[in-house]
Amino acid sequence: MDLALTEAQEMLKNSAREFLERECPPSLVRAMEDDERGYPTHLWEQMAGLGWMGLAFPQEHGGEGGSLTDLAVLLEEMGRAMLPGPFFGTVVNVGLTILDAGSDFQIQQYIPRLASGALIGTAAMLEENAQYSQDGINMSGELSGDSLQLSGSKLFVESANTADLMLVPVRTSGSGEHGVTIALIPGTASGVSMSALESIARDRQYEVSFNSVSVPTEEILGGVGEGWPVLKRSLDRATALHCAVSVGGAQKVLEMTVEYTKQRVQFGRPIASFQSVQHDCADMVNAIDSARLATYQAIARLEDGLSADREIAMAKVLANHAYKWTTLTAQQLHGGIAFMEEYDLQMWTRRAKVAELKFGTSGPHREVFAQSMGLV
Amino acid sequence: MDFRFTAEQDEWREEVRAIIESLITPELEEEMQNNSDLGPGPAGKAFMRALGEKGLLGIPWEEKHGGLGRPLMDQYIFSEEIGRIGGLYTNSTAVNMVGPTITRVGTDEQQDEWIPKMLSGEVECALGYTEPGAGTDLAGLETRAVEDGDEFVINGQKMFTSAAHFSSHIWLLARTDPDAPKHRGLSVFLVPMDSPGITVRPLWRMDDGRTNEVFFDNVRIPRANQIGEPNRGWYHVAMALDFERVSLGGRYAGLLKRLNALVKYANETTANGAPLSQDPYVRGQFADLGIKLEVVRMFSYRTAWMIDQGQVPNYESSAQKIIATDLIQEIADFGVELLGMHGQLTKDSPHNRLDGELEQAYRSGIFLRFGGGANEVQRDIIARRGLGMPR
Ligand SMILES: Cc1cc2nc3c(=O)[nH]c(=O)nc-3n(C[C@H](O)[C@H](O)[C@H](O)COP(=O)(O)OP(=O)(O)OC[C@H]3O[C@@H](n4cnc5c(N)ncnc54)[C@H](O)[C@@H]3O)c2cc1C
Repeated sequence: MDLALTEAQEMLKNSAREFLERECPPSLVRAMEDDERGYPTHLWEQMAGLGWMGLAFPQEHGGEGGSLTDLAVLLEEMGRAMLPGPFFGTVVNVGLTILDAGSDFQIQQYIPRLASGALIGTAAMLEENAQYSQDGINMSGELSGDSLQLSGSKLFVESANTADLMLVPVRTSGSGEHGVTIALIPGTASGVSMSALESIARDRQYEVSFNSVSVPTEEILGGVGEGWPVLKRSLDRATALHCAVSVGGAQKVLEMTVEYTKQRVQFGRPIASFQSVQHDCADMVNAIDSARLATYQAIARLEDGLSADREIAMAKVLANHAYKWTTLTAQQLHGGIAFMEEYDLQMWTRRAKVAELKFGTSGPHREVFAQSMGLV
Repeated sequence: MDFRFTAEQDEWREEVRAIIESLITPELEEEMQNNSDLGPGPAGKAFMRALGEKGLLGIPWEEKHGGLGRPLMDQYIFSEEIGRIGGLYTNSTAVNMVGPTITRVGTDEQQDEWIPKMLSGEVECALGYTEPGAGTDLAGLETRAVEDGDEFVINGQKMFTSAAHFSSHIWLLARTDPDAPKHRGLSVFLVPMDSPGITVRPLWRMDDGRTNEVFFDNVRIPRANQIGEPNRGWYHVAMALDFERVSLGGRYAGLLKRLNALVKYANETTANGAPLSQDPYVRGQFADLGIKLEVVRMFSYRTAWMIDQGQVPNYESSAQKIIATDLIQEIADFGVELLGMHGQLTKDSPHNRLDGELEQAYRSGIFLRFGGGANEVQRDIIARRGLGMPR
């Protein structure tokens, strides 16, 4: 057992925090909420220069050879800073999935460019039913000769406006786990169109429509009709790693709250000296620590190739609670000032709710955990 | 990071499991059926002595004190294995709290005198802290110990003194300097329970167990029985309480056993034409409790791991105490609810479910949330020590 970050991970954490505090302050995040692109390209280039997009890819494919835990450490800092833009989609949803299941051709074609930040990726998985399961994939794909024709639409596609490469699971036959096929499609493919979705987080999400988009079969990931296991592994990784984003956000909100309550004086004393305020903060500590331990445990298991369904489900339930509840309690302890739009806290609060919805709310994850307990 | 046990730790677990199982006699099993909260009977005491002979009462103690000198994590693994059996009396105050404190603050003579007797099970201690007027605010206690030549003379009353009716000694916190600030005038003593002037009266707990009130009327003890620095008793006791909190870790296994029994019950019991386990409310409750239990386990490992790394847990042992003790009650609460009308039936009722264990747990689960340092105070510690929030 070893519950500490390595020295290198500590360094990564500290340097990432320093960089993001400087280059991605809340004022930038705020500005990006109204920006058409959604993130500054110079920031993306700087991150590429630091090797962040390549962190978790093998050196032979142009990456840094880091582990999933390394990536989680970085994501925690990104969550803390509410980093806008396509990092998660590029690296986790697309990059790691291609690395996991791609053909040699696909890996050589895409990984080095994803790892260098030259290529931006996003996953277009969810549809109108918004289900993170095999049954949620209904958009049709038809094989004819050596190409696949896609028609239909996908929802909640993050950063589709800037994506060079989209990972799109469709149904080519059957139902349930069988017959899901994953296509890799250039963002500029003909027949692709999109319209923006307005969301509580004011981030860039889109409905993407596919009108007889044609994809050559060598761009199919994981085999025709064999896409579900690939997608399941991809979702598992993404779910666990996204918990790190939530933990980072929650931790920052806790620190802001402690700071604020120490300064805010009412009844002649700092409100931080009231026991009920302290107890709220103590409960935040426990919620965040629980989520963090569970998250790193889940990621460590994925890294070691062990079964992790139970651990991921637990991490997601705990992270959902930690982030959302920390922000709502923080709002309460700040009172009126933080209810004002110009106060930064509300940006975390809105994102925490989205983090809860993404990759499954606590209900379905509780169900996974309940099954792992042996409930029939 | 690595959340798994090493091969050596797995081996250790196998080893202690085998030892524990080999020591369970039919007499002990019978005794366990009949409420261990009243204290160990002859078989329980023999079990403790046998553990002591195997060195298992002093797993993390230094070898020079007769311990095994093993990491605290190994102690945890042992606690889990004890908890897995359930009902075994091993919460020896002497071994878990008093002994570790003496090894740190006692003189060489005191260590030589007391430690071997504690490890062999010969000396067992009751904790004499609480008084009628001093509970959470323990430092306000009034029992006096006054020097008189080579002796101390003790007068006063202790309250809720568990185990006083079967212990050889009481680990007593008493006021030695009434003029000093309240935290600075206290000292600790090991007082033989058979000293003239001690009266023990039973107090019956709402969960059928026994605790006591203990009266001291001019009780004389040798000066050598004052442990550690005079008037530093408060700090010695705080140290002992930290050990107590850490030892809560072993609750995981017992709670897991209870939860698994409830899962089995839910799978096998039909309500409104379907197994209880298929009720979405039931599944959600189970998942939440199961997840919290895993958190208890991770928090326990965190404290043990920190100590083994040579770190001093800051707020982490308080966090563990809150999470574990809240959960004990929550599981009992849900358990009784799951059993429905039958959940109210006691272990003596032929119609009970799961041996009436949940009904009893519901009553006993109340205690640990305020005992051993009220959870409110643990939250204070997290906020003040952990987060630096002001008084
Ligand atoms: C079964 C049992 C066994 C026990 N065994 C022992 C033993 O062996 N030896 C021993 O010395 N003692 C023992 N105790 C005593 C136990 O430690 C005390 O009950 C405990 O310290 C609380 O003290 P109190 O009961 O006087 O409650 P009080 O101190 O009166 O507190 C009551 C409640 O007030 C609230 N409260 C108190 N202080 C604060 C605060 N600062 N902030 C917020 N809320 C607060 C909490 O909710 C607390 O639960 C035992 C008690 C029981 C019930």
